[in-house]
Amino acid sequence: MRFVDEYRDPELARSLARRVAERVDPQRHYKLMEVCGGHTHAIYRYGVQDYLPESIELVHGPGCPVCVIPMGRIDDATVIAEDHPEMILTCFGDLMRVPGGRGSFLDARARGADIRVVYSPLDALRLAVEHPERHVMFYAIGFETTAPSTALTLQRAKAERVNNFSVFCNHVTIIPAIKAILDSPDLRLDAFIGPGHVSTVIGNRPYEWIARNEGLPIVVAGFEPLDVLEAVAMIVDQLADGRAEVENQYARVVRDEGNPVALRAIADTMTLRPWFEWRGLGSINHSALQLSERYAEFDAELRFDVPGVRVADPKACQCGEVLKGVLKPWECKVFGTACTPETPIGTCMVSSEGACAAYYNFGKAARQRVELKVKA
Amino acid sequence: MTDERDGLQHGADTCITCGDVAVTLTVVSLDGVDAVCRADDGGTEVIAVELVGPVAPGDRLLVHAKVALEKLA
Repeated sequence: MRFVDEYRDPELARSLARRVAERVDPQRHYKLMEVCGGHTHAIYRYGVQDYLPESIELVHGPGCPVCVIPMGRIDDATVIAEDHPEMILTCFGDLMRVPGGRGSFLDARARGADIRVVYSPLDALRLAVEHPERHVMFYAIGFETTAPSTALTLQRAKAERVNNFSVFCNHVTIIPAIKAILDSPDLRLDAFIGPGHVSTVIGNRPYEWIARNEGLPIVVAGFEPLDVLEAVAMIVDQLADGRAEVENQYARVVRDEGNPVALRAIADTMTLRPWFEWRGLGSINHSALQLSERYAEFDAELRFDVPGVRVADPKACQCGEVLKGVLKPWECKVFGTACTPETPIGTCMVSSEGACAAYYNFGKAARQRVELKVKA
Repeated sequence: MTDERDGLQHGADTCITCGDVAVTLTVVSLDGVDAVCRADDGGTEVIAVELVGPVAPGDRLLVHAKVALEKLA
């Protein structure tokens, strides 16, 4: 399959692994953070870590939007759905099991709320057109990869004058999250593997400050196993050469300037929030999007009363430390026991891109090996 | 249009929200402001293409949530 098979070739993987092994400094420990949950998933699904020297540690970052959504935002949407009998709440499937203080959307649906899974916000808009007697609210979530589809949907809703449609906006932006990670006193990083599809939209230039101001390499990478391995090789090359640059491993998709049309659609329909609460990272200024004034008529937070309740995470859950890369998933007190993909306590176990779910599903062998190493 | 499966994951182990499930599709035909696109497994889907400019049959697109984000070289 084009764009797939050539990026999963075992011989090419071994060749890249040899290149990495030849260039690492055996006296040095490397901490590389993959920002995106998709990379975390690929690393453990395909066993990428097994191809790397033990001195290279891959640290999982906060780039899973499902994982960083605070419980209160789930509760806010649940209240809106349950308080308005005419409401159809729509969301991506990944969100249905995310626990809020009042339970998940699945629980709310069991109580009688009309909550439906869609593949696209455009599906939610079509639902509104087909059901003029109902109100359809789309729970928008995701980084800059997902924001364009919401923006395009809003533009179509306005053009088609669909007045029974709204958006509960939870879109977040990647750069402030990276800044928050770098400000964390608990973590020292050597480089970043940059998010591939976010960069399709925003381009490579927004990362230049990481190289310039922080002196850290960042390599934007695709999501196939060889993409990740090559990104690691490019990072090791930079560190060995004493360079700190933004490089693009995913050039078959990502352009330096990103997608200007998509960026304009986002700028037309959304604006930065003064602040937004991230699970595990706390409140981060200018890190999320809300609907712009031009699209206020579609803003669910203006159309409906939103409780705005802040819910503390369960005490046993250590998602915050996992999201900051301070703890490995298996080091969480409830990982794999009280917290599993079937009964998640924390959001990192809900989404398949969450670090805990990725470890749970694919990383058991790696975890056992590391445990043995620690004992030795 | 809607997915009422209670597996609730789009595919066995992917998460649509994160965007890593952006997939490459091939344009089959144009449909107003949309395009009918085919996946490598043969399935077809109507995709919004406003964000990538004019497309033509045979073009390969990176698609997320039924919206094309990039035209592939």
